[in-house]
Amino acid sequence: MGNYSFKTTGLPEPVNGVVEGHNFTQGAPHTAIYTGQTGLTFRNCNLLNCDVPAGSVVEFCNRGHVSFCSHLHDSWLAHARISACAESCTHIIHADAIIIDGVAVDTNYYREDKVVE
Amino acid sequence: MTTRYVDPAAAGDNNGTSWTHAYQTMQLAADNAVAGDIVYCRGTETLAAAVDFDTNAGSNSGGYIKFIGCNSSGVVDGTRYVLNGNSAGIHITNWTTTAKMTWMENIQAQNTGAGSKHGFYASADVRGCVFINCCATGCSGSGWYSNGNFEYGWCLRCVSYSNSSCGFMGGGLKFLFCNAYDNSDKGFVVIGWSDFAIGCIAHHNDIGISMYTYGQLSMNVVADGNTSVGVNVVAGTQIAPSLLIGSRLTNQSGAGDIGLECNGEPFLLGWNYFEDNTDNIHDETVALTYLLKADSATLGKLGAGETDTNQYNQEDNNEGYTAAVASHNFATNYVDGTDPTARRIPIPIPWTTGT
Repeated sequence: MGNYSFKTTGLPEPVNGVVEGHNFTQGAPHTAIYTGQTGLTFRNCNLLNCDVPAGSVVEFCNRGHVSFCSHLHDSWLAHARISACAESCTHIIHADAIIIDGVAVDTNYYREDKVVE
Repeated sequence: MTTRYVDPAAAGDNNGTSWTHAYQTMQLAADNAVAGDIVYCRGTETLAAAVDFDTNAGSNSGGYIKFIGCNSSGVVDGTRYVLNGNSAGIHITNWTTTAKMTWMENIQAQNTGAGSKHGFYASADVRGCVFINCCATGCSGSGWYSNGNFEYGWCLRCVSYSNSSCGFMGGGLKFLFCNAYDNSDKGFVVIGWSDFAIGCIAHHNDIGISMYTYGQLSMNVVADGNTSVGVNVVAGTQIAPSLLIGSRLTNQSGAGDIGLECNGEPFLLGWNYFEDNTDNIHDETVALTYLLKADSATLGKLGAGETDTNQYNQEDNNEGYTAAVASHNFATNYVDGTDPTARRIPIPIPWTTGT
């Protein structure tokens, strides 16, 4: 068991080719881990936003890729684990204009992390 | 009261009346069970959609609707029934207002797939749910996600690990003897009015425990080896101060290295142990953090040279501190060393050690 979130170096050595029970969540989609290694099996790992080496066996792992919105993850942004989004980023799902006396003075944005292929 | 059964491998009539004729899905059981029913579950179920709890409810007069995991022989021995999302991009479970007083025991939620999906999720206010020895892992969101919706809910001896967001995102949930580790964000978020974490352990998350200063209590907790902060008191609007008592904040290592971060406003702490944090207490003066003093019933504002009830291992803390307290001896019950298991033993309730 280990938390290797946002790390691509210093990852645990496979044991007999098996990497088991770790959290490898990455900040950006399609981040390569264990680059250059072959014959690996990932078991019971969290592989969100990870690309494992081609030919790896993946068993009981959480997979998928998501674009994190930095407006929703300020502590990750503060530690440079994800990149800063623009104010009008693609994660906005809804916007409410704040109107006072008929004048739009500000906007409330509603955002969400986006699933990506 | 009816006893029902769930077994994805059952080959009988699948009407839930016995192990032979068990339902093949928890969803069928959730749609049919009523107050007072007990649903025994065994095996692993692979989901294509969340299990929705939106039909029936427990009640004060009729009792909970209980879902209890069993081993392969149908015996309740702590073996968990596994709900596997198979990376389908789904919440594993989802409660709405209708399904109050659900009891989940020995249930595991895992592998949601991408999209900030959660293991145990309430999408609307639901009252009085109880989780015992449940587990959430491999979620792209949080293991538990309440954000105010699991009102008057309890987690007892639950564990949440290797999730891409928080282990336990509270707000209405109280935590007793739970464990959150290896989560990419926070271990516990104690956020609701009068919510608490007692006897819980948060290790190797980004932040161990976040308290949002709405009159919450963290007592006898351990925050060890988290990347940024052990306990983070988040600024908010306060009426009642929060408390951190009898806890162990050790070995935070990485960005921040902070034992206790006080971004909030009035906040009370005492009888805690700090070791191997670069900064034991950060922003204490800005946050108006108060110490419960060992030598007086009064409260004192933290300041250089202040005598307080918190103990600091000065040899190992880079920050150093001028006020190690000889009169309050935690050492009797403190097991130091490199053994992580020993390091994560909650220290005793403070007033049992005397001051």
